[in-house]
Amino acid sequence: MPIHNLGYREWDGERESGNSRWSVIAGIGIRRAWQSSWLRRIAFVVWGPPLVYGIVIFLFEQVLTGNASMNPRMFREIVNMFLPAESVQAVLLVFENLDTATQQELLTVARPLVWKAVLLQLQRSQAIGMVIVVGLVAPALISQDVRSRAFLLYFSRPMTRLQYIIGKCMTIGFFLFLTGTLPQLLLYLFAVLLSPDASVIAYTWDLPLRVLVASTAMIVPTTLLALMLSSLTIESRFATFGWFFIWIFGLAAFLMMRRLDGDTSELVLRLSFLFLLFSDMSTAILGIPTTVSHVETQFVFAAVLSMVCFTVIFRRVSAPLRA
Amino acid sequence: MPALIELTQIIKDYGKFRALNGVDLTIGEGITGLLGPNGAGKSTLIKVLLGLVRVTSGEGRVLGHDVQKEAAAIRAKVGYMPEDDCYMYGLSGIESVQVAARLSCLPTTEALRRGHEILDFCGIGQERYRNVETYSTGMRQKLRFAMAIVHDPELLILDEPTSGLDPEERESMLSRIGVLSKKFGKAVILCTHILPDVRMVCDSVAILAGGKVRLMAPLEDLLKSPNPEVRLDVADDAESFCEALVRRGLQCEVIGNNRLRVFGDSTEVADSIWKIADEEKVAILNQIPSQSSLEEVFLQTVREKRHADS
Repeated sequence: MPIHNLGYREWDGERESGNSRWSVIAGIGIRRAWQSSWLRRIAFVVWGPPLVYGIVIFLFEQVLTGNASMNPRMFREIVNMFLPAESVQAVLLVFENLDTATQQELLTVARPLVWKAVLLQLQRSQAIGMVIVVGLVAPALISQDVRSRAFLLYFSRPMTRLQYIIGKCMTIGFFLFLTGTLPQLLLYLFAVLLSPDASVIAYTWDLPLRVLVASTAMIVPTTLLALMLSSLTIESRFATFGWFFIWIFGLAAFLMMRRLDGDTSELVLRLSFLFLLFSDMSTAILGIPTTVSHVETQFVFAAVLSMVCFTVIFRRVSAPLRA
Repeated sequence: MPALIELTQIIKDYGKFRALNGVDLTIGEGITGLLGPNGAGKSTLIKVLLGLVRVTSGEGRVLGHDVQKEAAAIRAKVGYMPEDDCYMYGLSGIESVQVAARLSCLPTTEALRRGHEILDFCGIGQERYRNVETYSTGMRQKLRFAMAIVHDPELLILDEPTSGLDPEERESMLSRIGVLSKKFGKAVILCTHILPDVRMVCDSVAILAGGKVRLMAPLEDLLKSPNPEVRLDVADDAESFCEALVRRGLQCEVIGNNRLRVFGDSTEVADSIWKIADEEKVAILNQIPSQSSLEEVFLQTVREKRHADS
């Protein structure tokens, strides 16, 4: 027997509460996913847009503080490149024609509106990167466990199926937070730091909360949809294909239906493409004025989609144990 | 001996198929071999014991916990080694054992420390740092065993623990199981088709067939022959010694050159044999009490079940 081999020893130490078992599952998923060099590259790239929108915020604050080198019209033209939101453009148009005193009075309205628009636009610009991130992380999460028959190893422990699914969701949620929510929160912090004084927090404090709610509203259905695809196959590449197919097919369907002009209702058009669905939801949660109707229906659709996906995942995870 | 597992009339249906058909089983300490032909319901019974499937009817308690209502408490105290070639993809050996310990609520650092200890105990050396996908079948088998015992369970359920192991590793595995039972008082259920393994380590045997427990008895009793006899190898003429034994009232038969068989295996018979050998100046080289083979017992039980079905 080697000198380090102590033989078998009984364990009489303290055991932790079992409430954090999902974090063990999430930890495995995160560690395993992070081994992918492609994921690391994409996670790095999606931090590019926040830098750009940080510059927009910087220029905006330069206008508000009356910096001579930046006039409002020039700013509006720069912003136009990044913020196609019509309502924000209209506000800025009105804003630039006001005298300085009135501008200062309207700051509490204009500043949050522009910040929200910047955050929404940042979220939209990160969408492709986030779709790719999920496409790299999610497909292997459950399919590999089905393939390697790891369910018995997991569920012969005092762990519930719900904890397992939460752990898997948290793996995707972690990467979506890292590449989506965190940059938005840091951009808000950046904006606060660029502001002339801390009083801006008084009328923008709700923005981080809105960002968190908007992110959650997007992360939950996205994560469950991706996990459902993963649970349906033992070949993770099929899940990857399915994931990207949904987005590409959705875009194609949206473009085709838009060409048909008027034959398709606005709601069906927006539900067909998940990007629009999440974008409309975020717009509503961030409190940006919008011309899109039926937002409530979109929330209901996202909730139903999440529930269906969860049910499928739960049944698929239970199946090997019932067999 | 306190009962660790008590099952009463357990029935489990999968749709129209009845996998368990009124299982009554009481298992105590020591190592119990769970035998049965393919499709006998062993895997379903294990899932019932772990609380992984809901039974259709019947009651059961494992380590004092109800199998229906306290499945999590049972799984915290039970170590299960599945038969399937299953593993946690993408993890190294030590990470797999650490995860198993963490899922059983051991603190992070302790899980790692104990993981290393257990891998040493199971004979997994530097390979522990390799990904499990690169492991041989035997290595994965040892790793699953390590994962089953890392949280120091009171009851071990081992499904085919020696399949895929070479003879040396098989012996080591059985030796580890023996140590856990004899030295550390772990109750073990050994589910296997390899009957020599059962004979080597088990204290009792349960034979499951057609979804029912057909036989449950201590191994010692099972191996007792219905027609007890003692086989003797002698250095001198077997025939004259046999005649001497018959003259003293023993039943005896010569079955080969210098080999004979004496019917009966009581202490009195053995004492008489040695006394007569001393008087007749016959050197006894071997004295082997006859035993039923476990194979015979197993086949007979399964045949009886088939006969009853037909």
